Amino acid sequence: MRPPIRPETPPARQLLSRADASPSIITEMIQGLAVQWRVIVAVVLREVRTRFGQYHLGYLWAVIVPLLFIVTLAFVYAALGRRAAHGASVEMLLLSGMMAWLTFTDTQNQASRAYQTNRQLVVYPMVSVVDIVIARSLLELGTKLAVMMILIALFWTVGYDVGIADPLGVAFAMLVVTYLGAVFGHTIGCILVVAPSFLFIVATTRRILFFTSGVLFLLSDVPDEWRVYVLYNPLAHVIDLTRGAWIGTYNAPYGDVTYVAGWAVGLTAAAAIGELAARRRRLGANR
Amino acid sequence: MITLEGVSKSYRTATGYRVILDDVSMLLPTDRHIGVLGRNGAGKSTLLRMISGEEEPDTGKISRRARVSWPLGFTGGFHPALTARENLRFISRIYNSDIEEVTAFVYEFAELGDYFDMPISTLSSGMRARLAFGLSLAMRFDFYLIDEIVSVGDYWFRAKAQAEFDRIRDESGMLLVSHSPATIRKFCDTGLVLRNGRLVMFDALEDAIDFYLDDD
Repeated sequence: MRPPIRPETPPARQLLSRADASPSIITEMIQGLAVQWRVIVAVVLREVRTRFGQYHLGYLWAVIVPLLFIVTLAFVYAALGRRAAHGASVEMLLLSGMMAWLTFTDTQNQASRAYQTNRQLVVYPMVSVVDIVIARSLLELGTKLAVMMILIALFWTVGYDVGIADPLGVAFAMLVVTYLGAVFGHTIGCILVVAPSFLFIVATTRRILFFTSGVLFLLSDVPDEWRVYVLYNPLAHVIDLTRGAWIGTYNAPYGDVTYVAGWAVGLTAAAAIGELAARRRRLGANR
Repeated sequence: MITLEGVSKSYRTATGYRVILDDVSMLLPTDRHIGVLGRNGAGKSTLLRMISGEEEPDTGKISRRARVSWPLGFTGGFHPALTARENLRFISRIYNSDIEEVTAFVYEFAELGDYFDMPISTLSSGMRARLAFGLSLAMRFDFYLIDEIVSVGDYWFRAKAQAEFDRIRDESGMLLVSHSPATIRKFCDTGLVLRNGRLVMFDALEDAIDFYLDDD
């Protein structure tokens, strides 16, 4: 049997003359972007298979994990006699907070481990770690949006109305937490290339971020003198904004978009610097 | 064409640095059969990995203007939890090759049978080698990188592999690393000698072999 037809081969580049120097750079950039998109799509399709593939029930775990958490906490809150404020139910507060938090933390985790779990891809020169991070983050966002809809439907079936007042607002907030998770996660991943023990600091940081994020409480329930500190956590802002969009009667008084944008820019810079520093180390260069 | 611009590479050892390449600039034609000669430890395999893009030089730049293979026979590029078929799909996608054609060719060539749909981690090393070899044939690279010729499989597979190897020699360029001048003589028409951090290209293969054997 004959092997497949050779796919279109990039033509061996003629020696660059001055005249065609600039168009060829643009052509190259477009070709480069086309290759990158192809790689990202391929990685997404591959990750769909590997993310939950080796476990029983497979992708169902993406729905089960947040559901278990919310149901458990709803019971605890009911036992403690806690009630939600601002016309929202406990389930609604937990669901909105939990979806935002899980999207952030799962994206961060996936991004941080992008290189470690895909080392075999270094033999394919067109695949970069950044492509894997982008692919995993897109997949995580898509998964979480689907899970969110499934959970809303599930709660609705058993008689709880946890519907979203402003779907576009919630979608935007989810995009923001995904982005924060991706750049924060990639920064960590780059540091881990140089210093694997940094993992312990990450675990602690995540715990602090979780307990100050407001998943378990509303920011208005926190005493003023403590709220000042909680509001240093950008996730507290995003979760407040998520709830503002999710719950029609809540207007997210503490969510500051500018503050979150500042973190997004800062973390993007950190991820870019980290990538430059880690890149050569990953590919075995000495300097 | 593969371009090396001011490429340096060294490894840290207990006593200092071992220099593999020291500021090397060179054009490698991808339509030739280039034999790389060098003493054990000169860095031939490292050179191959850098050309494939698997490893970065410490300084300088290597650019590829052709479809360059991964080192032939390398089996570490598969995801262990995915099946052979799923791995082929992924690799076809990133190289923009036709998934169905690649799958059909490799299925027939590698003779994995039921193992074609089993996770890579359950395949024997011989099966993986056949899969990787079949895949590199199916990808129809312009330039094949080969780190020592090793034969895999039984008698019948070897005969088939030999025929396919002759075919890619006809259709594509290659860079063959070997410490044996006899192997280089058999497969190559151009010689490249790696010695003391320098890379010297010879148009006439015999000159390269003379230069290599002359090292005292």
